[in-house]
Amino acid sequence: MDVQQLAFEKTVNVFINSLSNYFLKLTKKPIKTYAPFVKEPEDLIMKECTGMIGISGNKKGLIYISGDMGMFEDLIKQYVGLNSPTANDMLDMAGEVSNVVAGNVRETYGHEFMISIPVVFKGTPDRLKFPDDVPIYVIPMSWNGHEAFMVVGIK
Amino acid sequence: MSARAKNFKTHNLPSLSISKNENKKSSQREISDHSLDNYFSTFPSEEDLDRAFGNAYVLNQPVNGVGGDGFWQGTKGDCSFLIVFDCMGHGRFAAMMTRFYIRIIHEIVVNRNISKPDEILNGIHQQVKEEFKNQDAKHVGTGADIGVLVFDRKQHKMTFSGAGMDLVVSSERNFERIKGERKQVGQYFEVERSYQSHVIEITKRNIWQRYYLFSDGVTDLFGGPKGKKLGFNKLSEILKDGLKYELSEEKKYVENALSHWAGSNEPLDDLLIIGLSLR
Repeated sequence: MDVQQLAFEKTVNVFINSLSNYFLKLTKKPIKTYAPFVKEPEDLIMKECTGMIGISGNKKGLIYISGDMGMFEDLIKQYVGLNSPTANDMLDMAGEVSNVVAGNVRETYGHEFMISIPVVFKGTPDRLKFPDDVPIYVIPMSWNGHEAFMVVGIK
Repeated sequence: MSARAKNFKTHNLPSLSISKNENKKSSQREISDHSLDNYFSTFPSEEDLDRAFGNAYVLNQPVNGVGGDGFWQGTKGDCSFLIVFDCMGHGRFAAMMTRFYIRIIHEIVVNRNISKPDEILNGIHQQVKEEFKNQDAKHVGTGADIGVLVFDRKQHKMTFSGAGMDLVVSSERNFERIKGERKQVGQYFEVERSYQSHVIEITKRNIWQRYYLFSDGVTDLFGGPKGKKLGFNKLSEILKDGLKYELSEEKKYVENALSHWAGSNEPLDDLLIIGLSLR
C-alpha cells in the first residue's frame, strides 16, 4: 500500500470516528460500520435523503451521508422530540448530520480544512458526476435497523 | 424562493455536478439545496404582507443559510395577522422548529379561531407543552420569542402582544417601543405567565406610522467602532433615519446600515426584521 493510500485511509477513519461519535451522542445508540469499499465510476451510492458537504483548503473533495427517510425521522424523534417530522425536517436532519460529522473532522485537521454549508437533496439524480481525480470511499453503516452510507472523496 | 436563497452560493462544490438525462439529451445542472428552498418558502412573501397590511418588507438573514427566525401571516374577516418568532438555537434544528411553530400557529389562529394576540400567545405556549409533554429525550430548545400583531381594518386598530419581543412604532411625530412580556413561550411550563394586549387606535394622524418586529439577532449584532452589540438605541437611530425613505427603499437602507455596523464581524445569530405600514 502506497503512502498516499495510507494517508487517505487514515482520513477516512477520522470520518468514521466522527460519524460514530455523533450518532452515539445524539441517540446513545452506536452505529455499526461495515468494510469500506472503493466506489466504482458507475456506482450511484445514494438513498432517499442526502446531506453533502464540500471540502476545500488543505484537503479537497466532498463527503455525503445518505440514508432512507425513516432513519432521519427516527433521529429527529429521538433527538429533537418532534412527533411528526415532515420531509423537510428529514432533509434538514441529513444536512445537520453531514455538517457536524465534517465539522468534527475539522477539529483534527485545523482551520485550513474548510467545509461548505451543507447541501441537501431528496431522491437520486440520474447521474452524479464525481471528480475523477479523487478516490471515493463508501462506508456502509447501520443504525437502529436503518442502512445508510457515508461517502468520502478527498485528496 | 427569496432573493437571499436565490443568491445563496453552494460554494466549495465546484467539481461536483448532477447530470440529468432529459429526452435522452444530457444537460448539467447545479445541485440545488432543498433545505434553503424549504426554509424560505415556509414563510409568506413580501407581496403577501403588502396585500394584508398595505406595505411591508422582510429582511431575513439566517446565520447558517437556514435558521430559527420566522413569521406567519394570515387574514380572517377584517383582521390581518402577523406573527414573528425567534426560535432558540440556529441552523437546521432551529429551522425544524420554525416549521413546527408555523404549524401550531396555523392550528391556533385558523383551526381554533383564536384572534386576540394575548390568547394566541397563551395558545402557542400550551400547544408546545402538549406536543412535547412525553419527550424526555429532547435536546433542542422548544422556546421562542414571539410578537403578535393584529390589524383590524373595520375597528381601525392595531393590537400587539409580545413574548420576549417588542413592537416599535415610528413616525415623524412619534417613536415608541411597546414592550412585550419578558417570558418567551414554549418552555419553563411550571412558571405561570400571562400576556398583555396593547391597542393602537389608527387615526388620520398616525396612519402613516411604521411598525417593526425584529428578532434579538438584530440588537445583538456585534460591530461598530468598539465591537459592541448594536443595541436598541442604535437600532432606533437607524429606523428613525429610515423614515427618510419610502418603505420599499428603507429595506435596502436598513440592510446597508446593519452591514456597515457589523463590518468584518460575522453575525452570531439569525437576523429578522419586518417593517410595515398601512399606507
